[in-house]
Amino acid sequence: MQNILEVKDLTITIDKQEIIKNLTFNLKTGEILTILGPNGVGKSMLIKALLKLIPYRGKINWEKNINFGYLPQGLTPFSLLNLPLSVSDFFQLKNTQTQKIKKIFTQLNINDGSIFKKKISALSGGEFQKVLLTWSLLNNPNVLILDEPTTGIDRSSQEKIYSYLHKLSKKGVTIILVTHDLNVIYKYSSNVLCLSHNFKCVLPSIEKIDEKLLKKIYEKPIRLYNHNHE
Amino acid sequence: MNEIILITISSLSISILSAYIGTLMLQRKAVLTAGPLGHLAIPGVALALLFGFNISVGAFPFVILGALIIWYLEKRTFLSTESLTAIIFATGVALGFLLLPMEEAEEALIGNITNIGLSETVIVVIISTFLIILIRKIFKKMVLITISEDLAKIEKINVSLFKLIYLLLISLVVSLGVRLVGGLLTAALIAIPVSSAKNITSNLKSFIFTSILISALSTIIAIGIFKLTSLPLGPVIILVNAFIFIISVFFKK
Repeated sequence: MQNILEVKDLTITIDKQEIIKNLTFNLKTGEILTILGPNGVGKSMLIKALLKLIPYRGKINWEKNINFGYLPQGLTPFSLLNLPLSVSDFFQLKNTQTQKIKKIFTQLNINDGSIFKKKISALSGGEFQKVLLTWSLLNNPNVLILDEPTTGIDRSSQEKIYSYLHKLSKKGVTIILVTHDLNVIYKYSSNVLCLSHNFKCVLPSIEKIDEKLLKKIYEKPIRLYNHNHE
Repeated sequence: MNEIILITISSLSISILSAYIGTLMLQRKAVLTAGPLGHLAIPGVALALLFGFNISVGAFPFVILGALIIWYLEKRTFLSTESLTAIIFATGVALGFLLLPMEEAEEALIGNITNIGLSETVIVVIISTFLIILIRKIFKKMVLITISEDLAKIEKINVSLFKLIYLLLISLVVSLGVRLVGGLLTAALIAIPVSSAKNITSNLKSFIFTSILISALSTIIAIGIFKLTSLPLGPVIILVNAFIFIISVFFKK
């Protein structure tokens, strides 16, 4: 299959500090890449650079005609406390049909139609995250970039969301994911990019992740409880 | 034409426009921008009074300059809006008092629209209408930028350009606002009706509608009070707005 993304010698400098240095990796259409690593190692910055939202050095080459869906980290209902904005208002900013939104809602385990009338700052953390995820899935993106998409979302919805993302990837949607959930990584990732403060690795397959490697990434022992490959 | 009709038409145009652009200033940060811009108008108004030309025309170059400085500094220095505000506010007020004879200070600080003529009223109405249409055009994109600049960029919105358009719009609104309520009170004309509406609404449509309604209502009540008591119109408009705000707190949703 063809590479949809080629990253070569990527260096990201923030406040005169190189947080990512000489990173090189490729991604093929329909793959699910998980970015793994401890807090503060530059995962979100890497994602922003891939979306060309921040300056970088090196090469980031996307295939032509990419339609991105993006879920940023750090947006919370609290950060929107000042906005008299309903969920329905929020989606109108993107001019999409309600029918389409409802269809995605079902996939993400939002079954309550009254959510449209709710004030966005009154949503629970999980509901809000689902709304953002829905936003990123509208307009049929062929590349999804999700920064900790299931923060605050209950276990059963998480399962549903990840299996939906998996289904999308089978249809050819390429997905880049930041998550700390190792179970998700084992179950759905096709490859893993691990970032650590003094170490990085690009693994073409998740098979190679073991406790030894995790210890190296997180700089402390990590126990693996659920190690079921599909 | 009856002068009170001209006053009512021009005041209503300006207050409706101010409330409408206020609905775009959803964030605390944005409302603060209107403050220093209003104060920056003061030296411009002072010049206009000294040389006898239109106050709004005098204010505009100063306000637009201030807006561009804020836009540029925010882009380049990442200084907080609060500290920029302090710097610009002080500069504007200091310059204003340097230029302005004390006896004419009142008009620059709290406005005076009661001497407005027919041709100026027509111009105010035309500019206000044009600006309201423009705000309507950029509204959705600006709201998305307020929520998240990154999400807006993914939607292929030129964030920097829209911020610039938005600042130009505020500058024009502030320039009109100083005619009505003066350099000191313009920010209040933009911020208070919106704050009241925010208290009692939970979706965008009713928020915009309520903001405009409150602003227009306050202005009409204030003109009534002005007619009966001859108190200065600018401060009365702001006080009526503030009164409605206090009431709105008790009906908070």
